[in-house]
Amino acid sequence: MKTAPLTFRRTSLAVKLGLMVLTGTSLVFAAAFFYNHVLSRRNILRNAETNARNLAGATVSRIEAVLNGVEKTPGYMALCLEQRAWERADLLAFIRNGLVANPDIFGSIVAFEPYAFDPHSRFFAPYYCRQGADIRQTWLGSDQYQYFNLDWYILPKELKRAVWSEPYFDEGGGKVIMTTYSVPFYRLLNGQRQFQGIVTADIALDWLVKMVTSVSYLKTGFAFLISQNGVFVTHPDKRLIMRESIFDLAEGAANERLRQVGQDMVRGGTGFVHLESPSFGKPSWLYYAPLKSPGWSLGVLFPEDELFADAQRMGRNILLIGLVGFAGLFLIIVLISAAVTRPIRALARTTAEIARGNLEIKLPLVKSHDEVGELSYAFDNMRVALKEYIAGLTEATAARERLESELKIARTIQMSFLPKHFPPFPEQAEFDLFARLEPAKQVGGDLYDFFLLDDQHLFFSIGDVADKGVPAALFMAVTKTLMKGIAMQGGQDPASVLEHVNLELCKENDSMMFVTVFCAMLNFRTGELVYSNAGHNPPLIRRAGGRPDDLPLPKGIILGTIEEARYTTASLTLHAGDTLVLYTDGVTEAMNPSQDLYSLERLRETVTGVSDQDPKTMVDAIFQSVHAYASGAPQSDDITVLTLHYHG
Amino acid sequence: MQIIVKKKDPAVIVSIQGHFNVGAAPEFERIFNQHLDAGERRFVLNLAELTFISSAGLCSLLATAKKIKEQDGNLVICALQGEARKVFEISGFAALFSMYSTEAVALKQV
Repeated sequence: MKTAPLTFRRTSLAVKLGLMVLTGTSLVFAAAFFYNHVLSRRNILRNAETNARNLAGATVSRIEAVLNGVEKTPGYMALCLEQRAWERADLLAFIRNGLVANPDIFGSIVAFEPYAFDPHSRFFAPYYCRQGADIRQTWLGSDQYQYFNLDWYILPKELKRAVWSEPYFDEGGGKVIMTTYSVPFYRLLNGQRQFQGIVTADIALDWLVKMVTSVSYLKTGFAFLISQNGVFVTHPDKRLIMRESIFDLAEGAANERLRQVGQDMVRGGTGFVHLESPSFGKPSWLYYAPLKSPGWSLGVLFPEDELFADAQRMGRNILLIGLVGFAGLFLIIVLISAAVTRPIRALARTTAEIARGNLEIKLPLVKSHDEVGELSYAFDNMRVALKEYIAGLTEATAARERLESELKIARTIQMSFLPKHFPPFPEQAEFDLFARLEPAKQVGGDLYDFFLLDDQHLFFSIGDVADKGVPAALFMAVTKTLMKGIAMQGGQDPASVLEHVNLELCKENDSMMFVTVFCAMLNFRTGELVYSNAGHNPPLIRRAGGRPDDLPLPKGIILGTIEEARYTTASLTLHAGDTLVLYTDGVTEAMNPSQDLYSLERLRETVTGVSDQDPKTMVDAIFQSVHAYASGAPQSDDITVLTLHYHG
Repeated sequence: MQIIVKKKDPAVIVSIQGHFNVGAAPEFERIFNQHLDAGERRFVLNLAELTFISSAGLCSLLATAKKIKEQDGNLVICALQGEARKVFEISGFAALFSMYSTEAVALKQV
């Protein structure tokens, strides 16, 4: 048995389990992570929009608060100018006071229509402005400076409403960005409200720049302000202020999206849009809202990556935690499965040992009551059962071997006692003799014997012990030995021999064994045959050229049962050509597969059918016939045949 | 072989049908032992339908008869005929047992 594939499989079980669990949890984790990512992105974006809106709203409110304050002064002045006709000195003081009262206002003009204030003067436009801490007054209007045609004058006049000018860079004044709020004023003349002129207030926008610039969002996000025309009023990049418009930027970067957004901003729209910002050079988000009165637009711009920086960092951290966690999980699963499979591995090792035949090996103790425990328990049961089975098998085999060897011993005893050399007496021409004993598998107790008593007497016998196995073989051996011993003493006829043998066999015969014997003495010189029988089948006698007949037998009981049994000797004379056939009931009671007996009739026919006078030929013919009849049916008893042919 | 046992006062009648060979011997002895243990002492063995008896059968019969005798019982045989009767005569068994021609006579004599 190889262990290498086992090791491989074992390792892969733990790893496989780990990988499977890991794959499953990874999928769940990935789904949760993705869901969380999408959701948090959406939330972050929504929050960012809200924050940007709030920020922009707050900034817009603050700007508009200032602007509204600024709007009040020229509006009030316009109202006052409409109420009555002003004296020159009063008017100048009025303008100056307005400036004094509103520190936010940098300068203020009250510009009249030609000849509207003074019928002699075409221009009347006193201008007060701050110069350091002082307030200076100059007169605008000359042939070179025809203010009637300037935007700040003509726009509110034509539009008939107050107008904020485009921001502009005041070269002459404080070198600051300025814007002018111009309000038209009228007077009722002849029942008609006639345009009289424009009141303006200049406001420096440096505070606005400061305020908007100070707005920051996230890390680098900023706010900017564009005018009605899209020109940057404030921007962290100072170079853009008053020089470039949002449309210039869009054109420069070929950014159509930015152009569209710029148009919407200029139109006074509100929005939260995603775009490629030239300022950051990367995807950004822009929130924009209008400043209603001047028609400007405030934007809050911030790069997208900053928006999601936290989320990304968090995502990275979660991924990292997940990765570490999964590594840990994998390790734990491998350890657990290794721990779970450890008893199985031990079991496998032990089983391999069992497979090699070591059934004594103790199975590793598994305390758990889980499947592994059950498996181990089942294996141990199997081992014990196997051990018992093998022990039983060994015992059965030993018993069978014992029995077989017993049978072998019985057969050896039986066969060793039989004379087996043929022809037995080659120098005796008067007769031929042949015998064969074919033991059954279980070994019966058949016997035959023949020997010369002297130079003219042959003793021969046949017998059958009514039992099987070693006891029968021993009984047969005893019978044969006794018979020969007694016969060899001489001077006894066959009946006397049988009586003596019977007497000996009856002694101590507790096992109730008995033996049938036919014995005879032949004077082969004269052909005189004397014989006696103890319960044996009558032999066949075939006179020369005749049919076989039963040898007429005197009565005689089986040997070994009754001590006082008496036997009688009978006699007849053999002539040349006569044949005697001695046999045991193994011949006539041989059975075919359907349990029919071979029978005496069949034996007679067989004997009749053999023409040859050689006794061996006769014996062979009988055995052949019996075997053919049995046709494979098991032989239940010994088969013995002894034939004697008398030549005279 | 088939063994039929019936109780008919004063004896137990055991009838054997078919071949009585080495295979039938254990069953034959078991039946007699069983009745001996139950206290029966008189037995009639009806062999009217015995077709064949081997030497093992004779041995078994002899051992059983001896056992019955040892326990002061008696076994008689009746209705033996044909080939089986020949075997009994040849083997000298006829001289060892009380044999009767019919079951009725055997019952009287047992």
